[in-house]
Amino acid sequence: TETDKKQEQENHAECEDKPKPCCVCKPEKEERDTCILFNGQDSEKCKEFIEKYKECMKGYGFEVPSAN
Amino acid sequence: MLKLSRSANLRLVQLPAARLSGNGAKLLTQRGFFTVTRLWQSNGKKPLSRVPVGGTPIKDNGKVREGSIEFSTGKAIALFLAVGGALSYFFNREKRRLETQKEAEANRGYGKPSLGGPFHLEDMYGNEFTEKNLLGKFSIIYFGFSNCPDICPDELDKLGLWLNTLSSKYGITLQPLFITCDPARDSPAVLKEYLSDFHPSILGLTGTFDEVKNACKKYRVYFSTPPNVKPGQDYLVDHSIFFYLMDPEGQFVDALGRNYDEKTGVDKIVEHVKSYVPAEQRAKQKEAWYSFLFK
Repeated sequence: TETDKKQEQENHAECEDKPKPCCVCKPEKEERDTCILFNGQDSEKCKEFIEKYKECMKGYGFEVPSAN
Repeated sequence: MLKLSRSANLRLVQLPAARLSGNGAKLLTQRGFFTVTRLWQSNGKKPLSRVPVGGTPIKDNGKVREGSIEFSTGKAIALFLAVGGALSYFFNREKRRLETQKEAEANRGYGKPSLGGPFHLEDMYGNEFTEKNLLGKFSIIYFGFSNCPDICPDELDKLGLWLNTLSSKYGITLQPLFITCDPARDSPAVLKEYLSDFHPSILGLTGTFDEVKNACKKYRVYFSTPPNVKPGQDYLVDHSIFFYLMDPEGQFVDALGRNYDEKTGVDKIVEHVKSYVPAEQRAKQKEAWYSFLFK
């Protein structure tokens, strides 16, 4: 378990150095996913949140593909 | 009524006449009678319409008594209050009961959000897995992926804690499912390897690109995994931020987001499992005939 802990710490450090896609833009993602949960992915209402999350991710250098 | 008024009229006319004596008495009586009869005939409706039901018809002055509450009115008020009070108590109580019931129904997938439905996947042991495998037990579903550079183990660790507390403290066993959003990279073998780091009861599910896409759509998970990826090509995959709680009928109950920690998540699940009413029982307490009143 000690090696596990070390690895975890390393992971954390890595996350802070170079953010992972899953560690950033969490509020934007939550807003987007909640909207999709209640309205569906194709709803016009959610376009705004989908775009917001995309933009936020772009700021960290991640390209979110469009829905298909 | 007609008879009563008529005789009263007659008596009224005859009274002053009887007091008189002498020659003119007969004539006066006849004249008086004649006059009154004519009057009564010309506007005969008035004295009749003024007599209240069960009330005193006419007093000496010929007017209808007014101003005091008749006995029958008192009885009517008492009856009105008793019946009205009882009905309002009954309907208020019923309204509350039906509202709670309706809320439970709404969260069971008859209202918003409506998710779930038929899907066809394969579990990490190579067995077929469809929506029918959800029947008979509560399931908790998570959508994710195992691809190394982007592991988010927090959520699955949390799920493991929930499952442990639920079974040890409350004796509740859920069927935990992990559906991958990245079928190109997550073969059954990869899933098995990946999930071995987490709670042993978590069952990994995968399928073809279209099968996974269909499942994600049914559960309203943002699906943006590109089709036909080349080997070694890097791409981002989305994962759900919710755990989907499904009841033993395979119906959606609730989506638990990031705001549920290892304790509140357990509380929420326990609440749902305890308040679950099986279908046969729900059918029995189906809508009452008067439920249209509350719509």
